[in-house]
Amino acid sequence: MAETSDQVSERLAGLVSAGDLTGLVEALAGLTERTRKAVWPLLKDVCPQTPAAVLAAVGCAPRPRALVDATPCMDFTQAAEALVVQVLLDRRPPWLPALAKALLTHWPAPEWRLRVVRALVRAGALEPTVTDGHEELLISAIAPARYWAEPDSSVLRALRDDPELLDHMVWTMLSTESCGRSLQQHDHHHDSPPEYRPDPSPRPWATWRHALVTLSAEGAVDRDRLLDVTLGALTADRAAPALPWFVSLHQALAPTADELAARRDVYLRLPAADHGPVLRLGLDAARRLLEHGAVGPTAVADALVPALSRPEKGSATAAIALLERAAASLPDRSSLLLTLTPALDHPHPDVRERARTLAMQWGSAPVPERPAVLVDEPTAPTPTAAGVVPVSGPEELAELFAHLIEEADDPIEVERALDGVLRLARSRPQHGARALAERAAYLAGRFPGPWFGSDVRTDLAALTVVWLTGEPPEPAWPGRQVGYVTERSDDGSSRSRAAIEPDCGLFALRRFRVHEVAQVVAHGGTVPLSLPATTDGSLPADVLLDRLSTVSTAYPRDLGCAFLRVPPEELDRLLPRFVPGAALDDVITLRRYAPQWRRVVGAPCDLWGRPASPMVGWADPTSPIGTVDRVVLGALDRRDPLRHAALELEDADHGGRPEQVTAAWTLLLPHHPDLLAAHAHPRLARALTKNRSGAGPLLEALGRSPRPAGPPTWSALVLGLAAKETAVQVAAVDAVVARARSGGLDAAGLAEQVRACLADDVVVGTRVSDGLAEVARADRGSAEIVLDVLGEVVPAVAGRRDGHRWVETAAELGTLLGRPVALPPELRALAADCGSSALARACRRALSVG
Amino acid sequence: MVDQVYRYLEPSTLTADNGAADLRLATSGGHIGAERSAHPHFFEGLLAHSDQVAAALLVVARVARTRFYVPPGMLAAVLRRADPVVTSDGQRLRFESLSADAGVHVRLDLLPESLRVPPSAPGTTNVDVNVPLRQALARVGRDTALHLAVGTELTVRTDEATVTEEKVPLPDRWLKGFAEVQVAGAAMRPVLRADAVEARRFVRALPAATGGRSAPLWAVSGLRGLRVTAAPGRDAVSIAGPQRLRVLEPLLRFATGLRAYAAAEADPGRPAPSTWELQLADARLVVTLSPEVSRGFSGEGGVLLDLADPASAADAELVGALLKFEPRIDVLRLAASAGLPPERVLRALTRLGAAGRVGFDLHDGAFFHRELPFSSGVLDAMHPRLVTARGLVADGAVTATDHGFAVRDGEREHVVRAETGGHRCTCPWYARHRDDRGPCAHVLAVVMVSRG
Repeated sequence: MAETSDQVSERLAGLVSAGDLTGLVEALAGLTERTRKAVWPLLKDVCPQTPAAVLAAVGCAPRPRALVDATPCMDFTQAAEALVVQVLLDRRPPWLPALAKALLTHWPAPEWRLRVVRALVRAGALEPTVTDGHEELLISAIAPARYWAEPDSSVLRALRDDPELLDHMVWTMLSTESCGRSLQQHDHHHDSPPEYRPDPSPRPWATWRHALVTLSAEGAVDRDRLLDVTLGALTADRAAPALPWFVSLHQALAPTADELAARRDVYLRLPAADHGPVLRLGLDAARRLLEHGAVGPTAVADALVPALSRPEKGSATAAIALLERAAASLPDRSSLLLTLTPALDHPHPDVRERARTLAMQWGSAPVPERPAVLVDEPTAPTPTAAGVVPVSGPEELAELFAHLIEEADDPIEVERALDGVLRLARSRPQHGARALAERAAYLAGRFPGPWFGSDVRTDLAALTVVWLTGEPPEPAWPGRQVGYVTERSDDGSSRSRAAIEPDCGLFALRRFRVHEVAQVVAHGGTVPLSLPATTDGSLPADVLLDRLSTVSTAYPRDLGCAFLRVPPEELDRLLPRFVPGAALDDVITLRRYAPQWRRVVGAPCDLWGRPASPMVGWADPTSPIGTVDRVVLGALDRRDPLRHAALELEDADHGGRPEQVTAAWTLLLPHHPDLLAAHAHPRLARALTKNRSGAGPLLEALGRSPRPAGPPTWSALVLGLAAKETAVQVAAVDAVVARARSGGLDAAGLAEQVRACLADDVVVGTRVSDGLAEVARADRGSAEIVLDVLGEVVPAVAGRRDGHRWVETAAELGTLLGRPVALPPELRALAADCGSSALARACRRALSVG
Repeated sequence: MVDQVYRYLEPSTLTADNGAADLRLATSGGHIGAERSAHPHFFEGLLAHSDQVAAALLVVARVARTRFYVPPGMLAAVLRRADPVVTSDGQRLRFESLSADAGVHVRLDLLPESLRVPPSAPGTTNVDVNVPLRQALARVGRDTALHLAVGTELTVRTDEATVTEEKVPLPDRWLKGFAEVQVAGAAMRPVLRADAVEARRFVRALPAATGGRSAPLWAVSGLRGLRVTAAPGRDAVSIAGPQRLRVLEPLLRFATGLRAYAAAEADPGRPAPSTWELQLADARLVVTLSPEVSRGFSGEGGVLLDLADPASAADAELVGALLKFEPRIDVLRLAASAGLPPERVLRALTRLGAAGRVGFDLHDGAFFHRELPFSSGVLDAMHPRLVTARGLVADGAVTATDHGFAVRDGEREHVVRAETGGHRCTCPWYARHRDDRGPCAHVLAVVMVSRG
């Protein structure tokens, strides 16, 4: 008696539960399509993450899409894959071609799907063309590089098992631009396996490169065609990441002199490549072609012109060396002088020097150094700060908020909005209030939400909602998470919770202040005190006294911000206004503020207790103990700057606009550049290795501050010059230029911080030297100061790998400005020693100045 | 999204033999003179500076297939292959392309001196630049005699079986950007210049990547040439996403100089478009960068007020009919021909520029005629704000109030007020962009109603 569909499904479910793959294949083999369709609804929800369940789905799913959806993104063993193929061959549904397409196009596409399709092609169940357009899947599918793959799998073995791949699919893959990057990743995974692999030893025999080279040696792959495809990829104007694999394949193929000669026209185009490794390959091929007499010296010289104009010293030097070799066989070398022209203007002095020497050997008149263009530009007048006009009414305030909740790109506008909403807390705009409130409520819901401090726009959106609805704000996040603590309950179980510590840094003070504004607005508003009078953030004491005369209740954070904005020399005028208490203490503390800065270097711990990279901080042991309620004390507290520094590095990770957060800090400390610089150090430390630090506005403020600065500011500028983030690096250059122009730059102080950072190995030296060179491009005054700085730094660079860069920059500036460059005795000795190192040559050039 | 159909009689090819190379660019759609043509043919002849031309064509092709900005959350940018456009004015050839993110426009001008024979006719068309062609172009050397054919004479037309047809979805905003980049150029003036050595140093010193949402940067003239700054002065040229300018790199070895152009009335410190002209031997490569990396030319909206003016539409129609693929449009002569004051002709040309019918050559300081070879009708209807505004006016959504105008847009009502220096609106679009990207749909609707 035949089984009912319920009985069949029960039997199959049992096999799935037991994981009996062989039994499943046998059970599925004899089923009709009708039975498969009938049992599918009962089977489709059974253990979807096991190979047995996938096998059941392959055997019973009624449509391709249902089958693909039911097969999870996982890989099987080769044996299980074979069973999947067997089930499909037993079943042979009419929609098998559609299934193949669905398997190959569904994203994400686990590697087994292409292998199954290929197995069906080999069995004759599908046309070979079914995989057209999916060649890139082949790279990782036939010999997966992932750690759970078969340990002895290799591309070579897979290609031998499926030789039809070599007819068409492999060649198409090699001609597809995007495949170069995937091939590089695949082979890199085998050449340098990650440490988490069970066996992290290199497996070069498993790579595509090894497979193709081996098969070409065996004659299974046409070597000439492989060489042509490789050269085609290198000359097809492909993106740089698509090229290294083809360079490595070319090296592994090691073409003979005859093979090079047969393709000499192509090889002679390679020195024009933008990609360094391709260019070097071209130079090497040109050298071999020249050595074997396959090309003449003139043809080689013509091919070298692009390489001679490359900015990298290595490429240009190698090209000059090859040109010299080509010239050796020419009786009249003057015809090659034109070829040398790009090298005579090369940015690197070593290249220029060598090209000039060669030109003179070939009969040219002495070639002088390109005269430096020195333009004395009139120094632009220092911009003066403009006055800040308070918001005039609710309509303007609504319009201001409407913009700021979308883009809080101007910190003065943010201050105007905070001032306006405190004054106009009980007023509402006549138009658009509802739409604005709805939009603000939506934006306030953005991750991570208001009052966390990481997004100015979100805080302002929440404040807008408070203003327009009158609803009080949610409580602010209480402090800073510094780690996790494990708690044990009475029943013996344990759980982790966040460890929170009070935070009174500028990051927290800004959000607490906006939160205070929201609370005051919800209670009807007040007369605000802290709106800066000018766009530089300054608030004259007289203006503050006027405001204080009209206010009944001064809110502590608003008052604290106002105190910080009053010029220190005017604080005395505030003293008679206050009776003993917190406010008077704040004024007295600020008045007596005389920090004793001490540079500290350490590796603070992150949220999980892991030490971060060494960081520089600036401690002031004499600073007061900060509290979250008193802005002045919180801002001044720098007793332990590295305590939360590793966590502050990550503040910029959350929220959308870190630069808008830090722009607000600059208005909080308009008269204390060193204190602002000390607060900026964690952000600058982040900028050394990551983007999105938000350090740009801090450096801009340090540059434009007219106040005298000290070591923390110079240290901040050095870290900025060493930044990886372009915007921060440019802001640091601008800040140094601005200070140099205004006469507010202490060259000795800056040099001391450069030396300290180099000694502690917290910066990339070449970035700092390049940054200083960029400063020197601005104007003569900046160049003079940079040369002063270099004069102090150069004695410390002997023995450094980047030492020649510092000396080189000093030599160039010395030449430009007509000032001699002083070198310490050890560098003078190095110059006199006729050594050929880059540093020795740079020292000789420096000594030749003046 | 518009489906642009590229239909080529055969793929473009470059065949090299014995020091000579024959570059045959297949064409699809466009014009010869005023006539539409399925496969225009307007140039056949030898080119000077073959290696320079080949490298420059590769740069144009590279920009067309590059996406310089991938929006956050976009897992994989679909690289749409929009083919370059070539224009002949009877004297020179101009090859143009726009990056996939509509933020970088590049134009190669082959000047009359680089063409051994002048083009046989004026016209515009798309040209196929395929992978094998790029490969072959990369192998063209200095000594190669390069013969170029744009299109094929019908007499030697190939078998129908070799016709390739590809349907490429082009976003409206991309098409709009291709047209509007010309309008951006019309408002610029030359600001900076550098010689060949300085041009090489400056471009190669630009960062290869800035990462994330980069702050606006500017190029300024310094003690020893150009430098990049975040604090612009008066003569500064915006260089948002400086890595985008590195597309010039393959051509630096041919450069004889570099000029930079910036908007004449740009607000210092605000992001603005900029144009960089690399001067080559008998040619120029002109790269125009959008104001921000994340912002393509499509969103500029600088011409919307003109487009909303029915009077300028009539002027544009009249002026457009008088154009004859001039390499330099003489505004005074055109004004005399059209019987319009020069300022109205200029407005009409701006409007025609937004419709892809004229380009602007900053070096010459003049408009030139070219008809973008995209599906007809597309360019007219691709300004969504204008379409929305027309809809609002048609629905009677604009009403005058004591405080200005109320504009009902779906569930919302926005208030538009006319103030000194322009209109203000209460909508989120205006709040976000203010006047940076032209008027919002509500302001446009109010302007239309006010003009009657």
